[in-house]
Amino acid sequence: MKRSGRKQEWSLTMFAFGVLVFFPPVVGLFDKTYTVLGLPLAYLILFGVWGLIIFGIWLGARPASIQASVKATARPDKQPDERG
Amino acid sequence: MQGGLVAVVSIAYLCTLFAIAYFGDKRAEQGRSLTQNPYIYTLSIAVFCTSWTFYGSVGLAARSGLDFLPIYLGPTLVFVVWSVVWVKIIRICKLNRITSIADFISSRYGKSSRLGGLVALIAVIGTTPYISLQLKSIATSFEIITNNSDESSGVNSLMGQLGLDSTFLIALALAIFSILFGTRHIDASEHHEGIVAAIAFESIVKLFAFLAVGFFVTFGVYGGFADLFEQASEANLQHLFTINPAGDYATWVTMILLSMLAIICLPRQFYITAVENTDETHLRTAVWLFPLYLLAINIFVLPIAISGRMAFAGGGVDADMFVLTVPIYYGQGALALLAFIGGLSAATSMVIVAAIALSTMVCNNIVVPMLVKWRWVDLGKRRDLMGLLLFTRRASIIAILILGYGYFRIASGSYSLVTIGLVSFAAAAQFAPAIIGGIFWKGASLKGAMSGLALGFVVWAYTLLLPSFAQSGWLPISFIDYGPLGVEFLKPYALFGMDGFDNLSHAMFWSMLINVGAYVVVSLLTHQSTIERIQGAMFVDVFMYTEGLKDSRFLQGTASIGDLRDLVGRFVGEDRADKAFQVFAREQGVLLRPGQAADTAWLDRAEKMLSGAVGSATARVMIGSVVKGGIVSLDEMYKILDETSQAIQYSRMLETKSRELEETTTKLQAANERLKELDSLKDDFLNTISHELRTPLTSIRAFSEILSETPDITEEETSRFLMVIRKESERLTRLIDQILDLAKMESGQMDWALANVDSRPIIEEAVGTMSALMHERGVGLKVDLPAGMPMIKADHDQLVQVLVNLLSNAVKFCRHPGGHVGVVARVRGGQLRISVTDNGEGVPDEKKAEVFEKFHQFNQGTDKMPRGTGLGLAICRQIITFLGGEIWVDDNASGAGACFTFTVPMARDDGYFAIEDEPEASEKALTI
Repeated sequence: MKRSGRKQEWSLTMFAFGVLVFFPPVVGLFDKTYTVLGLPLAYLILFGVWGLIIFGIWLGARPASIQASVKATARPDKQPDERG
Repeated sequence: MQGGLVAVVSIAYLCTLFAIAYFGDKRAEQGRSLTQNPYIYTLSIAVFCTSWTFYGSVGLAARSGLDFLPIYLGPTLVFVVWSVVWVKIIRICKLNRITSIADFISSRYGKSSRLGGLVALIAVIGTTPYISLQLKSIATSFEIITNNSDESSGVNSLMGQLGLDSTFLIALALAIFSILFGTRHIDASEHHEGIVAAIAFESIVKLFAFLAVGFFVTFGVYGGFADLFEQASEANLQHLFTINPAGDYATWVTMILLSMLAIICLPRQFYITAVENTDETHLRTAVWLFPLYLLAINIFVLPIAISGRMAFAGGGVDADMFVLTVPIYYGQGALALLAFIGGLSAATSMVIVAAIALSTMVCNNIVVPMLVKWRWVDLGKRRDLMGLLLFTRRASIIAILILGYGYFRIASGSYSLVTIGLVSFAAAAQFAPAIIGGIFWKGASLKGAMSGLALGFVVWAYTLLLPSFAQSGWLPISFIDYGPLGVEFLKPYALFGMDGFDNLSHAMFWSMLINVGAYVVVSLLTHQSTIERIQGAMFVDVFMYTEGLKDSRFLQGTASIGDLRDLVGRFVGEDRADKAFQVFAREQGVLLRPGQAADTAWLDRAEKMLSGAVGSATARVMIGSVVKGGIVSLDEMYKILDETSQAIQYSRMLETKSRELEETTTKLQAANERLKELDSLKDDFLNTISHELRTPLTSIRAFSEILSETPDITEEETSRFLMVIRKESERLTRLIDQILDLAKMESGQMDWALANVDSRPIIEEAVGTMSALMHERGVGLKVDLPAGMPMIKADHDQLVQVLVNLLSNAVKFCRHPGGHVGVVARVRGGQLRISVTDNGEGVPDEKKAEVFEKFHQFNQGTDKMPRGTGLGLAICRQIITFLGGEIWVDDNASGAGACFTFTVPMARDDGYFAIEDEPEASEKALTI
């Protein structure tokens, strides 16, 4: 499997984001008993950020992005030449 | 609910598992693998969600709110950095054919079998409570689902008569399942597709069951999330909406960190994620899908817990079983049964995978090394080692399940699911320093890993395991309250007086402190053996080896390929070994000749095949046992290789450097010598030149003083003196011209006009210039030139100068009567050779070399006065040397006098070069 440097940076960024939100002191900011939109604030934010991070991992792990960049660099000669 | 119905459904479920596993294995054998896709892989990783998740999370949430989440947030964070951690671990496992976490750690630290054994032992001790936890959940859930409807359980009474219970039967069924599908053959590098398929199926079942209960509670009982949380608020359950509003997050943080370590270090997670991985690219899907699975299975934990609290507001119901009791409370028998099956699937999947992973470790890292070491089995003679290995593994599975069942019967009654799970997690976390450190830090040594692991384990046992025994009544409870023998200082829950933490944080702090501390400090203080260093580099730089360099560490020896095949065959089966060797031979592009000595590639391959079956440490010993003769040990071999190559490199570098130094020194010395020489030459030159310039100047000055200061000087004397002054002035001019010429030539600033020129006109011009003087002095001249004079490559004017200098020298020394000068030209060896002879006094032998030096002149003649500048011959030599010829002086062959001869190369691009040397006989004389 190809491992590109930017993916690692992206993973580490997502990791830092997760650590920031899930660890004190930030976790204490939303660890309240009241509800927002009918959901407990902590429940909402924990699951929301969790989902966000999963989306972030998905973004970083897509093999498609690599293939796209490979295509973009490997076939610069294939310019559309049908001009009618 | 009817116990019989529950039993039948359970049995049907287990049968389905058997069928799926069987089908999965069949498909794999046919080469149409079911499991080789990222989704099955992800679902198999979801074995992480055991009955602890299924029942325990709800229990925890019902007691303390969102505290259950760290166990799932931690793994998510680890999967975020998948490209740093998981890819590396999986790559290492594939490259080294790692079969278990014990194999991984032992392989990293120099394939040490002692370390592997220690890891396996800790894994078994640490996992047993966890297995018992699963059995407990099965037993409890079975009890609840049958008791809550109908007491007349036929199955239970039958088993009661036998002194057994349904849990034992389940454990037995799981053992059989694990044996059937986990130990069918022994080449552990082949994946257990049937098992993986079954585990993936179980993951679907438990997720589905849990979501079903969650949906029913949230949308069936209540009007959605908002309604549920609102009613909870009214029931004064807001504290369940939070983690810990009091602001103490020590437990929360500890649990996140612990679960981060657990997702890597739990033997079953390591096994299913790294060892059973068939394709690295599956990770791309698993890294987001697995956290998504965790998120999905956790969404309804809090709603179920809250609804349970509200339904059983009076208490008295085990919160750990809310997933079952809430549907039963609302009269949903079928849903409760589904939930029961979900819980069963969560529990069984963990037990199956753990049993297989542990049995591999017990077999490869404990039993086989012992067999090898103590020679209970003569490996050289015993043919059917594969059978022995399979037997060991199967027996291990049964032993592990019996152990778990025993722990369940004796100890688990006093503990909630979560507590037991955390004890297990904390044990697995002890592997983390050795694993994480091992893949990022090359300097970590075997002794460091050994001491860290052992000490961490001891602290874990003291602060978590022993207190659990005390709570179960095995040890006096005073052990917890007052410390061992009343030493308060050593209270297991407040070691060294540290209190104010929960038991888990306290245990994690001390065990990790000791573990990491010992690991780092001992690693820094001890030496790595060579194989440790090599393995360390292999692990840390695995991407370099797999994406760049090739793995090049090899054994060396004199085993034949046939020996190796027999050895491997005994462990993985003859047919399999045969096939594998033929494939390898094909890959290598060679014919399989059993008698041939196995080269390093064969040894390496055989070792890898064996390590799949018996672990890398043992494989090394085995290969070592067939490599015959007084071969150096592997460790020595590595050492020799490593250190020799380093030494060679250093000595080569040194050699080069010293040679360079020597050369430079020589050059410097030469340059220095040359400088000295030049310096003294310059001094000589200045001395000589001032002397040479002073001589004519002195006479000019003397004569002019006489002329100006002597009033009565005669006319005749005046003109004589003036003549002297004129001559001396001319000599001075000539001298200065020649010095300038010579200086120019020596410094390479002379403008040469090199061309192909005809040699005859040059000689004629020079002779013509001198003939008047000769005539005046009465010196005879004879010029002898061959008929066809060749073209030469020369500077016309300079060559004339050479001849004039030679002729004037000759004339100077032929002042006696009858003096005559001869010029002879000949072609000799592709060169024109011109000689100027005189019949003067000649040059003494000892002076012959010196006459060409600057300012060298020997005073000849009666007046002993210098007759020239002393630069003429030096200039001649400069010119001739530049033109590529030579100049020298001989005695005149025909009597007294000297013969100066020089050579000039002939022009190469004309016809003359073909001219043969002319025979002496045809010499013709030309007299001018």
